[in-house]
Amino acid sequence: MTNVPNTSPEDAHLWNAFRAGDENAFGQIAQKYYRSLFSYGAKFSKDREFIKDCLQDLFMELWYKRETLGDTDFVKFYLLKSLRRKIHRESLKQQWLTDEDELDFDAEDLGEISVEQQIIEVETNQELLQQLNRQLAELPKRQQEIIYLKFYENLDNESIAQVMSISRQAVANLLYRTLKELKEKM
Amino acid sequence: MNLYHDYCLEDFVLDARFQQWVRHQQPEDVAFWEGYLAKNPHQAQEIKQAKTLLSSVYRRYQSPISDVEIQLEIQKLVEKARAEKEKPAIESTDEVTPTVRFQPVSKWIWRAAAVVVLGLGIRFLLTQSPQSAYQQSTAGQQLVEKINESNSPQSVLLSDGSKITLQPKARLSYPASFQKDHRKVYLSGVAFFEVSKDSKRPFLVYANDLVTKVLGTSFLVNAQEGASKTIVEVREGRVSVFKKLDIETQKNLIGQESKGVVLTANQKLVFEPEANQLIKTLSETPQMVATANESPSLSFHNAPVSEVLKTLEKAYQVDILFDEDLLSDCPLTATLTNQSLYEKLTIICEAIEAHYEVIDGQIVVHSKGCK
Repeated sequence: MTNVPNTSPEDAHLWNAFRAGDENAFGQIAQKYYRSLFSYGAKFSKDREFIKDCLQDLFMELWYKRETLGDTDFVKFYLLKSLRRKIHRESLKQQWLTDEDELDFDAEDLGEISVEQQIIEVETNQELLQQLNRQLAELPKRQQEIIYLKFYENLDNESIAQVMSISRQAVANLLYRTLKELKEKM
Repeated sequence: MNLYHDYCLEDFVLDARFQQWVRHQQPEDVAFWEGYLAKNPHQAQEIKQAKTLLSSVYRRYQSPISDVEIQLEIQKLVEKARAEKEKPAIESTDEVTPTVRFQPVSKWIWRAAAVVVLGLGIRFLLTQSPQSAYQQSTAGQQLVEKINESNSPQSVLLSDGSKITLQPKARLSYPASFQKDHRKVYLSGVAFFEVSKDSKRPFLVYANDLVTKVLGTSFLVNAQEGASKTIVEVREGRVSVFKKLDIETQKNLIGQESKGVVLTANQKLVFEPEANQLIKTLSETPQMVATANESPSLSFHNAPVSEVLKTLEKAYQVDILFDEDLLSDCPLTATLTNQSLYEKLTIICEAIEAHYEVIDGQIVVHSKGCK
């Protein structure tokens, strides 16, 4: 299992245009990662405007730094990590958290199901799906975050470890344990 | 030959191709996995469970934002990036001589600057993007602009001898030569000002919603566009800060300080437009103010705390309020050379079981005395 590569020729071209100061290329790159980042950020705070503000700042920082940036391979990982750090810092500032607190990873139950999801679910057992959903919700926050980064953001263990500031071994162990737990309950 | 033959649930859910099938249902993936399933019925159970598990993950963590919302955010970003990029062509001349002096070359630069400002104006009319305070104030004026696009501070020397140190991304606009009765500059970003003394021509810094007026002193202005706060911090001397709205008529400004806030050394003013309040406090890192005669000795041996506090008051030029009668009975032996002002105060207060607080730009020491 490897990280899904995002270095197609078009991507590399886009990235170079952005580094050269093309604001439209910048917009396309932001577009490419926005949903992913918002989705991740939304797990830490229910305040959508707050997450949007964090993302505006995050991308503008990327823009200011454009000339010193390296290759495109690590963009997504870098942005996820920076976003997590930013949300943590801002939460401290706004005193939602104290110094000792960790960020809480928590998905909201969305109720509505997207079209994409409906297609998938036609064939799957609805009851089992609900049951798994409950089990995911009961997992410790850290395990949920790993599952999210692994399956939803397609990060490899090394990247997950860096985003969450824990060791690669801890990621591997937690991931293994989580899958085992879920499997046992199926 | 068969890569997936020994796969169990864990292996399937971690496989990129398998994930892609469950998540996106692309025809080629569907064909591949259905074909595989038909040929390997012994794995049907594992595959079905793996698929359900992944489905529930994708469902649980799907992204709660619409395409329209994303589009709006992207537009904002592109506009901000474009605004940041609008750098006047004058920069190319600046790079050769990072310190710009005006008298000799002013004519040529003047014309270039005028063209640039005009260009900006037209662009904004076309795009109708909201202008920053900086853009509004400088639009249509014949000004020279200096932008620090490097990663380190850059100095600008003005025609009156004042020196302004721009932090990265800060931009400063000023006339090639100042008028007779005042010196007016516009700032966006963070800059440190060392203003040369000229009591007949006050120096005015327009930054976001604030105007800082000085005769000659050094101070820092932190006025980033879009930031929630604008900050003026005084190193030395004395400045007056006004809300821009309060002084729109210029005659009021010169020689009248009624609505302004006066700041002295080591004081700081924070303006939050949302609260529309000017808050005066002390700098987070007060510096000793250099005096011509001598740097004070901060070693004390059995000295009354009242005397120690007066020495600090003088060294930092901040007001320290305390009950002199009470504290003259408290002796202190300490060397207070290397700590910050706040650390010094903490040491003193611990020694005499007092405490202090910062109120309205002054330090207040509360104590019950030492008798």
